[in-house]
Amino acid sequence: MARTRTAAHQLVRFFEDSACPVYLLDDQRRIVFGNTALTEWVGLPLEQLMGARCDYCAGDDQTRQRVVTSALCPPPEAFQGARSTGRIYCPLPAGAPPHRRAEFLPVATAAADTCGVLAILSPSATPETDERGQADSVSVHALHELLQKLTAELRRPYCLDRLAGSSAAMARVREQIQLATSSQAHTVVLGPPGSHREQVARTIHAGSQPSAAEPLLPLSCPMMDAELLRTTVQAFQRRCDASDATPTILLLDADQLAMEGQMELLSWLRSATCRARLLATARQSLITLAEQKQYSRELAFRLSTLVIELPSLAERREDLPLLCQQLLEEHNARGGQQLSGFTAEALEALTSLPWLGNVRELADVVRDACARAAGTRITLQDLPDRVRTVNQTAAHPARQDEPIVLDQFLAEIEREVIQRALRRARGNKAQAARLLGVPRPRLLRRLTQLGLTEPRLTWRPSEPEEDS
Amino acid sequence: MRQLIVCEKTNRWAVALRWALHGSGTRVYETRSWPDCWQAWRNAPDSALALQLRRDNVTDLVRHLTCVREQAPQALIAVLAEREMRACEWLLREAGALHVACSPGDLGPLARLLVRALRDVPPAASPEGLALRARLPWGD
Repeated sequence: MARTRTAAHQLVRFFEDSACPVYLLDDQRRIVFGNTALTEWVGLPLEQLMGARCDYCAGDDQTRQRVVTSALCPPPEAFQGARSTGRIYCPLPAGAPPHRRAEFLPVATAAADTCGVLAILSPSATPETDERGQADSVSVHALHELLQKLTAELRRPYCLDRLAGSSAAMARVREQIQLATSSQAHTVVLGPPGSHREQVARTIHAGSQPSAAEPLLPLSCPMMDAELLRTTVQAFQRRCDASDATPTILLLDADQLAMEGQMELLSWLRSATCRARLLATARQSLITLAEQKQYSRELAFRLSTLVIELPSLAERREDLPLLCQQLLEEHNARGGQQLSGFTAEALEALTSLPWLGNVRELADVVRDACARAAGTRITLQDLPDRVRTVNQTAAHPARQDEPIVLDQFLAEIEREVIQRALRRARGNKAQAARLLGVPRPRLLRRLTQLGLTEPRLTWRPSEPEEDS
Repeated sequence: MRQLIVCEKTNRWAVALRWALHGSGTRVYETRSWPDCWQAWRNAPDSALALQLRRDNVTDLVRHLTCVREQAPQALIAVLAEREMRACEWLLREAGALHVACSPGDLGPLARLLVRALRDVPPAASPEGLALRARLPWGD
């Protein structure tokens, strides 16, 4: 017994002395050993690593511990007995190199079952230095690593600071977003088109740590039929179950989900397997729709635990200068021509518009203006024509609609169509009548009534022949 | 116009999509590079997009998706991925892909989605129809 303990102690000491991070996972992917070099490299104490399960997934990390454990996870092939190598990417405290070359050694029992995987991380390596025979394994790891990085990049824009506006309405919206973020309740974001409902919903999902948010599945409700909804949601749920993550489903335009889709979603929500959080965007209140019998009452109430109403841009005109500046600086951030702001004249013109398309319309206008701007500030001349036209139109009273005489107007159209048919039929009235789908006598009658019987009004060859 | 713009290196997916969309009145327009695809989409922004995912264009594709959705949040974008790239499905969906097809032999769900999405897009008007429409009073 003493000899076994001594041997185990020596083994531990051997790994402890190693400058390379070394760790061992059991067959349940739980860390059962890690040396000091590992704890120093990942910046976490051993107590937080021991027993933690490593999942081979990207972007479903909520805490630093889960970021680290998902990064340390060997590829699934290692647990099936295949020795493999790869690179481990771990976002680390400043100064430490984020990449390490990893060697995963499966540890098998006498019955050839894998009972664990020993991982040894050597100093950083580039894919080019990896062995040729492991090229495929490396590319799989590279993809895994890329997914982690892209997920973080994708979620970066969704933070509360991006919802600019100092108006009371926006201050309230921000408070509600914070509440929704902390509560994990199902939430509906209501607002007119172009009011950035999706941006708000994604901000709620991203929470305070965008890169560490749970997996998100956006679904465009107008395009979903019941079958597609069921298969997509079930596949997503399976993926989340495998990584022990809590899924979030974002129902875009939930008010336009067909009744069959609503029933499908409802039955999934009622099932015991469902543990997803639902975020929805809609133009109109789901509860109001349910009262009008246009929406499932139960689904409407389930989704509307929290309701965030976004104001239209016209209701928060005081935010317009700030929004314009924010959009302009986003343009600057893409590189290229740098602009400092708007002239007072241009801002005044922008403020006077009705902005039926809300923030999205404003973004389009500012993008166009930035592309046109010749100087360092956007002037009235840089604004798109339609903005200036609206301002000019506002300065003049609208012209009254001119009335028409319907019969006369329709007769004009009929005359045009008959003439075209006659031209196509090269003046043959029987063929023209067939083209028009009317009997020949009726065509003849209409020709007389419309005054088309004279030769000059019927068919003429495009190039008249010259008399010899 | 009911149109699907496909961006892929060969015509493998386009052929399968034409077959899957046969009879739906949707035109499949092929492009071989992102700039061509972007230009085609700018010319016909009502069109749906189907972008091929390859091992070497994951990053670019995510950025293209973000770019299109910035310009047109309602744009219908599907991703055509090889089976080996299936791991990217959820990232691409989060980036804005409405559907990720993993085999040219299984385009039924994508075809249904496209037909539903494009049903509200009017078919291409004839020049005569446009001229007539232009004569109608009280237009925009």
